[in-house]
Amino acid sequence: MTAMVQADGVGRRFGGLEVLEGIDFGLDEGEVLSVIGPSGCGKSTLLGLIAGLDRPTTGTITVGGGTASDDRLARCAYMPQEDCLLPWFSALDNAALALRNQGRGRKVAREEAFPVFERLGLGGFEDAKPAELSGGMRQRVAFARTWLAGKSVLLLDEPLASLDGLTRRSMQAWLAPLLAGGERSAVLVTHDLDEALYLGDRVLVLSGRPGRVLGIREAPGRGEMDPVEASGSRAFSESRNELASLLESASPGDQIGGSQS
Amino acid sequence: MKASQIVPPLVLAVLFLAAWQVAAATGFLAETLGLDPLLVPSPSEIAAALYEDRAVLAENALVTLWEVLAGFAVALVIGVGAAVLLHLHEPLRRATYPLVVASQTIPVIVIAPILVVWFGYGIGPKLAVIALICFFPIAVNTLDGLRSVPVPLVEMMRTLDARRSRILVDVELPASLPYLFSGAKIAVAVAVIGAVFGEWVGASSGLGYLMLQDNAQLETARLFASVFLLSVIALVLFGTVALLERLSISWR
Ligand SMILES: Nc1ncnc2c1ncn2[C@@H]1O[C@H](COP(=O)(O)OP(=O)(O)OP(=O)(O)O)[C@@H](O)[C@H]1O
Ligand SMILES: [Mg+2]
Repeated sequence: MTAMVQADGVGRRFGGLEVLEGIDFGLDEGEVLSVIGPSGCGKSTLLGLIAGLDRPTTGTITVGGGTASDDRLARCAYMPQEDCLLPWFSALDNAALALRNQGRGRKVAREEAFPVFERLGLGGFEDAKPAELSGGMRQRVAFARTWLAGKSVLLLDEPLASLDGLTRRSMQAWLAPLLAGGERSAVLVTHDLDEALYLGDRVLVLSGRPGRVLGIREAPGRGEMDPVEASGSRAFSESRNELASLLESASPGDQIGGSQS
Repeated sequence: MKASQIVPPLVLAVLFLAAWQVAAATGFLAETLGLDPLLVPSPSEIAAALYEDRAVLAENALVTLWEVLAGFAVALVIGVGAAVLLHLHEPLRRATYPLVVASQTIPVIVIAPILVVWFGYGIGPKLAVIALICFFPIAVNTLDGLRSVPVPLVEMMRTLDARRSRILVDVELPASLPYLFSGAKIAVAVAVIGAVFGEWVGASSGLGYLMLQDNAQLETARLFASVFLLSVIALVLFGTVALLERLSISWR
């Protein structure tokens, strides 16, 4: 397989603040990489660097063979930490934003966006304004918008962080098959060990600032079961414990863990 | 609006007018001020002047209204245009923004006579005065609005293949609308004052012009009637802008 995303010795400094240091990893085509790490260790910064929104201070990032910011921008779709829906557009128009940006007319863009919109359980809410939607629905609109951009790499920054426990579980359950489809590569930042293991093929653990790669672990049997079942399995809890101790070694006292803890 | 919002100011206004009426009609007001009673009209005399001279007043009010609308429109176009330009061009913004703010310390009334010298006695100098005072609240508020857009929103648009113009039209301009309306509400209120100043330095019609005439001829009741009409114009324009704001910002 060819690497879709390749990071070689990537570092980023803001003035005197060293945020990321010597980051090396590769992301295969169709693979999902979960990224976990203590708060403020540079996870969002890393996504911005991959997306081409920012340039590394040291090292290089290659996405789909291109190293320039514009190459990366052209191949990545970024879903920010907040849902960032445009309040003045309807739900479907928000989902169709990338299609509009790529030059389609409003009607064509809406028609093209609708199947994905419906598949995410949003049918009937085409013309609702974001303010009228629940948190889970807003998150799904934001995901539809990211997905519909048609990019080969999805950069998801804590896509489910704002949701309550139950909604979060059900969102994980519908997100899993989409990401497991193998059509797109994805980098998924999360604070939740269970989510990292459940949605990712591999899990990358970052240290506290300056963020360094502490290790990359395989995630057992991702997306095969429902999230509650998965978190109860033995292989799962073993990986979970391993990741937890890895994290703890880097950031003693930092509160990081699964949604159960 | 709820009754609880309307009743208190209404009661206060009625009390004020009643007190004024009694004080003026009994001659008490003129006496304490040491003035000729002719110079201190009562509200009922002002109302009578408003009715008797309605043709003259309406004619001049229309002139002033027209000046205000035209001056405001000029300020809106130039103000929003300048805000967009400064927003898109960072070095230009850095260079000119302090100057724009500094220009605000020059009282427009002081330069009004010069404007008459430049633009003659037509509508030109009035437009210029009104546009000058309306420009600042509109431009500054719109610029703040354009800059209020959170960075992740713009970044999201950039990775979704948005060109600069699309970000401006789909994100920054809608986000700046509430700010623009705040500026426009301040602008219409001061525009009426600007029109009067513009007319005072050189005009042959308009409520400001009429006030000068009435002042010279001691037509104080009609003078107050003009003042009343000026505030009615300002209030109606303010209400219209507030209504447009409610209609165009439907997402809140
Ligand atoms: N543009 C910037 N200029 C200066 N400092 C920045 C900038 N962007 C991020 N930082 C700093 O870099 C550090 C890492 O930020 P980042 O948002 O990447 O962390 P994170 O791992 O995503 O945190 P969280 O888990 O809270 O989302 C923080 O200390 C932040 O203040
Ligand atoms: Mg973050």
